[in-house]
Amino acid sequence: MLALAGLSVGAVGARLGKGTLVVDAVFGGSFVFALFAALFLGLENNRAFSDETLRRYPLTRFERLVARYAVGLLDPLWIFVFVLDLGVAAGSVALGASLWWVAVPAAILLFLTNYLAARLLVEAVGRIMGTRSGPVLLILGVVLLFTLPAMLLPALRAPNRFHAPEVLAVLRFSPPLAAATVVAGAPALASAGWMALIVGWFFGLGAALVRLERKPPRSTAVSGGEATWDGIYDRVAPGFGPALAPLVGKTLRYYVRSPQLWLNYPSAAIGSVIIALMFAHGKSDPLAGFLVMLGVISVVGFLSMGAMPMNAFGFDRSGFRRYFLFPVAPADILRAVAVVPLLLGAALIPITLGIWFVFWRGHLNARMVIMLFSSGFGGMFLFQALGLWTSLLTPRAMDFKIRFGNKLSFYQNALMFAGIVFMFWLPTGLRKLGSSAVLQYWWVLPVMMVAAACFYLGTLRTGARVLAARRERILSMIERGY
Amino acid sequence: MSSAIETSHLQKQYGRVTAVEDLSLAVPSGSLFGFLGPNGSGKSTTVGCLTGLLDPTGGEVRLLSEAFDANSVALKRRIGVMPENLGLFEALYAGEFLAFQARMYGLDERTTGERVAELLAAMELSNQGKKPLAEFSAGMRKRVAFAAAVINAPEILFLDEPFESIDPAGVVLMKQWLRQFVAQGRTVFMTTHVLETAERLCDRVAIIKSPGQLVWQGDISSLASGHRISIDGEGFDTLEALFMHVAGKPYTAALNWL
Repeated sequence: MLALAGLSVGAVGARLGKGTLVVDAVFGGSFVFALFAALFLGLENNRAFSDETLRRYPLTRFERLVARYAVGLLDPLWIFVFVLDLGVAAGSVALGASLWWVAVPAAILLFLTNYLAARLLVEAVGRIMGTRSGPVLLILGVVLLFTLPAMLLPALRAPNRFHAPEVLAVLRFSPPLAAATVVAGAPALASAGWMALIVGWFFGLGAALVRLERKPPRSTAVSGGEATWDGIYDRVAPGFGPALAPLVGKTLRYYVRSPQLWLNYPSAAIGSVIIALMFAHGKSDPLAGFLVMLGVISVVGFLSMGAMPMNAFGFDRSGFRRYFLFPVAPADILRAVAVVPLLLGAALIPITLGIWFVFWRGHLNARMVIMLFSSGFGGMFLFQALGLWTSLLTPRAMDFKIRFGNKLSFYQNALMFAGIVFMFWLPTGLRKLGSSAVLQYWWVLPVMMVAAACFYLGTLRTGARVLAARRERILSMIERGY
Repeated sequence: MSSAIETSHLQKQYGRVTAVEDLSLAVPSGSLFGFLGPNGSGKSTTVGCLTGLLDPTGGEVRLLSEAFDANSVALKRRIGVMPENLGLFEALYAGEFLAFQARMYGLDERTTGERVAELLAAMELSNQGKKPLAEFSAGMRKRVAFAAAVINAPEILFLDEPFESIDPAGVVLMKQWLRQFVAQGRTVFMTTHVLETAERLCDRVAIIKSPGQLVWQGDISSLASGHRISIDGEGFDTLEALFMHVAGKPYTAALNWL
């Protein structure tokens, strides 16, 4: 299917006589998409074989390197990118715009360069996150990522300012656009030059990656200092009663020490406000921004904590067995691991809405505010309840220090994608109903929030029984994973 | 003497696979009990059933003269466990983990602080500061797990392979604590592969073979004073000889290429 899609794109581009522009868009889009998917969704599996694991075998450093990257290339994401790139090249060849022995190597080189760029990005961001100022730098990066296109677009469109063709001329030296030039049918001599440029990128990125990998990551350990049970976590936890307090304190520590939280929590708040403002820009419907915010806020209380709420026990690894040695009921264990993401999510919803209120220039009344909070809390209850089910039914052992990488189960991944799809589907669905109808039936959202809360409470009650009954199974599923 | 731990026809099955079969044990209070058996014979599974981690598929467990199962919350407060794989929460620091363990067993803030400080000092872990347990060496992790098992001063202490990977000085200290623990009338139930350790440390042992079948249990304290133990008319002067007789299968495979 993808090969056909790529083929069609290449063919259409060549037929319309806008081959370079079409191929630019597809190659550029797939290149950036792959970088984002590798960074934020962890869609790469070269961690299946770490260098540490491969050192046990009689392999040279080079062989270990090749083995790790070869395994990473088998990820569905990269197969997707490979087929698409190759399909575009085939389409261009089929319509006679380019020669196969030029277009196909260009597409393959682009694919390999894309993979190296993604690996380098993931590794570099991981290293930055390991430093003290890492989370702050990363938040700034996320803000820039979301705001830069919005800031640049008006400048590009403005008369007497720098224009898109000039920007494109600079971007032409990037791997996707250089490959697009070759695939779209540049003259032979020029093609050789562009190919040499992509080869240069390939070796440059490879050298940077090898250099970075040779530098050992810093340890998170801090020598000296007291580390007991009287930190800020334990001033929050006693509010949950003597049975739950230590468990809540422990779970809170896991969340606060997870790099996933430091990456996702601020990004979710800032990113969702920027998305809502950007999507509202230029829309004829004055309530378009409000509808987008209704969708975005519904997943903030869930996706802001990374994989933890959907794999609540997997991060405990062998510690999971200790829960059942403690003199506590399974219901208390489940309540403790559930209440922490609920608290963190509930805290982020008003913060996110507060930031949005500051920037929102459209109409807003009390009913709309109730709708926003209902969507936020309703979505949080719904998705966190589903997260408890994926935690109970398909747990996976995971390292709490993991920054990137996707070791989630199929159902956990499905839930994550469902959250992302829901975020975009809800505003689209509401727009189809019409803004006035949405406002007229404002009470539906609070009712749905109550229903979601009931589902959550039901999950806690039923989940405790499932946890008690399935604990041996969960234990074996978690311990199998490390 | 009353029994601290009693099992009657204990059975554990995983589908069609039997891990423990018809195991009846009696561990007297105040004894240091060694639970021995070859690899895969069901030792850890038995410990799991005795501590509430696993549900037996048959039979009965009694701890401190009360019926015990996974829901026996009050009884669980009176036992300490160092489980297989140690069961550490790796994101926590050593001090935090011990304090968490103490609070889970209902110790108050002051007692928790005192015991954590004492145990960290005794286990030479005081200088580890804010280092997650994930970054500890195997021996250090074992020391933390041992400290966590004793922090609530339990009446029964279950230890699964307690001395593996610990340095000699640490082993000496732990043995000293175990003897002191038993001298106070408390009970230790310990699995180990090191027969010399079991012989020197334990008063009684039970030997099982796969699938979790008891083949011998009895007093071995006489071995320390140079006496022999008779089984089937044959005398044994070491635990190793006794073990090999009842459960051991000598490795006979000759690797000619080695």
